[in-house]
Amino acid sequence: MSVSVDPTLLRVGLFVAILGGCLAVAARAREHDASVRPDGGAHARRDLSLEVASLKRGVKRWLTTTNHRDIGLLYIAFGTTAALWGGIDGMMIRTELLVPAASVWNEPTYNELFTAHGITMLFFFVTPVFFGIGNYFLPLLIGADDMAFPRLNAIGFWLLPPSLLLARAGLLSEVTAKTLGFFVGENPVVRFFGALSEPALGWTLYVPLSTQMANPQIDLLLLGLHLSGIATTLAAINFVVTVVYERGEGVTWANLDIFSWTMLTTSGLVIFAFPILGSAIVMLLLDRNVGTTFYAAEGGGPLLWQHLFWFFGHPEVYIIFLPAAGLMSLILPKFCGRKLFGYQFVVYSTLAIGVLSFGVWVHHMFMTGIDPRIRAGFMVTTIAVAIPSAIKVFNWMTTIWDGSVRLTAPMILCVSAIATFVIAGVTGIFLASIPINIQYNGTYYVVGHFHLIVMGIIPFMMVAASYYWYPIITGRLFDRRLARFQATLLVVGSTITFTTLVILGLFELPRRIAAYPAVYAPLQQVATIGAYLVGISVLLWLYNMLWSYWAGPPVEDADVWNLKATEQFTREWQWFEARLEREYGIEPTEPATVRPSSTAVPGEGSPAISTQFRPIVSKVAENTLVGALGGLVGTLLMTGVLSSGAVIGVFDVAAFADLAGLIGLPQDPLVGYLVFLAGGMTLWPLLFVTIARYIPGRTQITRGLWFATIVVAGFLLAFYTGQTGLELVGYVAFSILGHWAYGLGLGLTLQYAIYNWDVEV
Amino acid sequence: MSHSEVFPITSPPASDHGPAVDSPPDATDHHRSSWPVVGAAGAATLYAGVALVLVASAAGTVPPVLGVAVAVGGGILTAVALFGWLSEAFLSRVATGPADAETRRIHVTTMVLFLATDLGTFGALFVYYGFIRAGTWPPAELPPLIGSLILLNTLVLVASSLTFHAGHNALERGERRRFLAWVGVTLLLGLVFLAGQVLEYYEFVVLEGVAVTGGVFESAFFGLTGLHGLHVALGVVLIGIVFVRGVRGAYGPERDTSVATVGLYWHFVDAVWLFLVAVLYVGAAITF
Repeated sequence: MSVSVDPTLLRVGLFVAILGGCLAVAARAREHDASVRPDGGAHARRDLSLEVASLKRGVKRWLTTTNHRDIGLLYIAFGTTAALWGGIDGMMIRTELLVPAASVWNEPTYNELFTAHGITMLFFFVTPVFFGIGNYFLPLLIGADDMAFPRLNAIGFWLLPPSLLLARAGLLSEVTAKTLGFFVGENPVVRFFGALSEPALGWTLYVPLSTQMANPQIDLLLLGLHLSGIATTLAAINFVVTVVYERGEGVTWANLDIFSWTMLTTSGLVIFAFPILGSAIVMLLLDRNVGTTFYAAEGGGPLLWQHLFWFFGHPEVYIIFLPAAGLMSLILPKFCGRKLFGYQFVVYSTLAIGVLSFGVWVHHMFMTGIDPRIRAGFMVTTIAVAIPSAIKVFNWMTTIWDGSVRLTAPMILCVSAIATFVIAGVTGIFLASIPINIQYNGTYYVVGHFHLIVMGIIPFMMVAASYYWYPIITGRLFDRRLARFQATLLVVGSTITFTTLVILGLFELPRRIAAYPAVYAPLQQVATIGAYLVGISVLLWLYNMLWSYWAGPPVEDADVWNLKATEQFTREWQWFEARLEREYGIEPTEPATVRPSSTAVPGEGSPAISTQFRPIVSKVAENTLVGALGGLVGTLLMTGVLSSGAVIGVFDVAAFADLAGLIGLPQDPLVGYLVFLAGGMTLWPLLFVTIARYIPGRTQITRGLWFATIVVAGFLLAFYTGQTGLELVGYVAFSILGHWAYGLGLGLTLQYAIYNWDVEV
Repeated sequence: MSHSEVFPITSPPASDHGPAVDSPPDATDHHRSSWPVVGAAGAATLYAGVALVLVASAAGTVPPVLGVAVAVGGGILTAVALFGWLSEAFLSRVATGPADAETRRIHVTTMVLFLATDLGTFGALFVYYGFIRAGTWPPAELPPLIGSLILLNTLVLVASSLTFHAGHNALERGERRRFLAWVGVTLLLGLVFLAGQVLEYYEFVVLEGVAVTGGVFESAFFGLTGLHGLHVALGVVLIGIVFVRGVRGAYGPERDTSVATVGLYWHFVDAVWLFLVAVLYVGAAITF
């Protein structure tokens, strides 16, 4: 496979295409806006004017704003743009890895891609988006008028766009040089731009590579990171002062919401971590350009860079994780109808993480030959930092327990994020162990582990928050059905991609290398397909956000999520309700029944799963038994079809022997058939019973046929024994017929059970 | 307020001449300011100028002096923006009564937080010094570190902390003239320290031939003293502002917020200097 598209042009081209698509969606959505006001009249459309005067007004309004909500939106828009940029890099990394040889693009391009991907995502996507969400909602949540220092807030944002441009100037100038060179040929200006190219040294900027590489874009990158560090530190100071001094009446330390707690802790970490990076970067710049010896072998050496970098870098991990944990603790309880379990413990675990995060940095450097006694100490602290994270997880799970769960899009993301975070955390504990770290530190295991956090909880919670608060920000509703689909796709894609990377790492495939042995190709391809699903889901999210902003139905009741029924209509929603009433005359509503979210009395508060234990168990048992019966009928019918196929000679019974061998039993066709029968009575019927309601069709029979048609693909692959030509056609035909027979038998039995035995499926 | 939108994504722009009387609080309680974006543009230009110097020397197509000019322009723009900001936020308001205690606490806390970030900024360089001390020591012949100049300069800086403190005390007692005198003395002492530092650099670089790139100690020496010198320079500017505002009568016993914050900054810079002298000057000269 070979692509002749120039990678730099492709990267810019894709970005421009996405932005163009956004504009097109916005324009079309505006045409489709047919919303009706509550008073019966038609809503006037949102402005999308391109007149010079209104554009000028708009530019002035956004450039000079000091309103925390405006700045929050600027942050979010900036972070999303960076995410698209870094996301394109990510997609191109995965595309390169589709084939074992570095043939889609070449090795240098691959190195540039993963460097740019890491830096863009960590510095310019995650922190800005969380600071944006914090800017918009934290003052509302704590009852403050604004952030403590509105102007400081504004400059904290406005320093970011130039930082990003400096950091990614290599790509822009490469494209400029190529485009100009195409039109005017070789000249000094082209040479000037051509002197820069994307750095290819990994986001950790390890010396001596970063001191030896001549590419001046490395200097620009360092300048950009330094400037962005200043911006982040200013914002962090502002958040701390805001939470400490600007809390409104009735907001105490004892009832401060968890998101504000985590923003406070994250800001504290920024204050101590980012200046270290700032100085380390200036020292690197001086080494590169002035000739100082900070990281020279006779001076601090490469180890000094690693110590300084990771003393910043590990807290940075928690700087980007804690706000996500805060959003989880804030959103999850709303869709369980239950107060967050163990508020105090979640607060204390947040603070504990904040302190411990500064004491674990050497676990990134176990491979550098540091004294084993020091390594052992850092192994212990690293394992210890898992405890507060685990406390959070258990509190989240306990919050769901006994709750009345509503699987809205934010909730899908919440529960999935708990799961992926558990996998991420557990793989991390193994990495903390020195012997395992030495084995796996250089492999895809690490990539999978940390992506399950930086993908598996951080963007999940950002997207969850974007859905949860969308009505407050825009006054419109998004497409909830599309949102649920998008959330699920994001979860499925991320899980496929990054658990596959963990497995690749367990097979000890080294990371950061464009080419790999062919034996790893299938797993790499699975990971890439998962990544494309993530890409599609991101575009769907973007579409939903944009379309609904112009054409979504306007909010007609501030209680969008039915939070009043469980007394969880928190400050930011109250603010929203007051605003709707003030500006649009939308009266507040009251739900028919209200119960507290904190009660422990069954029947009065949350429905208690423990009191329904018996009915649940009996229903599960009933479904299993009926499913097994249906599976038996279906498998026997299928056996008939397959036997006919065997007699004709298109189906090989020996394939059953392989099935037995696969699970470690003797390779005998009869044993294999019994395994097949057992699977047909347990695995497949249970899967069907679980997902039947999502399969089209009014009766279980139609659904059974659909189900069988879907699973036939797997069967075709598993039982293929080298048939060709007409035999192959026969094999496919008999396999499909056999599955239809199975689906028919299963569906008929279940339908019979529903009619005659009152079984609920 | 226009109702042409379904729902404005944020509050509509407040009018430029202050809040209207009976409009909803949400729409008008936010002022606007051009200074943040101008300041950011200045900083961006400054950084871009530095970048231009580096690219120009690598590509060889643009004279590096162009980059220097851009950087200087950016620096000036940043300074103008910061001054505009200060005058908009503080100087233009002619307050006379006692300052709000909460506002004072907020500003003092903010200064403490900023100084906490400075711990990291200095800390990274001290860690480098720790690394070379743990290596072969002394790495080469060291410049003559301890002399009358450095002792004098240390005394000057310590004295300036005491004079500023005395000034603050005088302000709290309501003795405005004495307050101004002490702050003026502090300002002078700060300038003397800077002059001493320049003299020291001159002696080292020009007379002794100690270059920034001379070796592992020189990196630590110029890195740490240079960073500290920049802090002192900023401190002198801040004290200068306090002095000018003091002359204009901006302070009183109950109105001393920026005296308190600048004082914190100045004492911190002093403390860093004492630590720096102890480890970098005295500590380097002593070998075990």
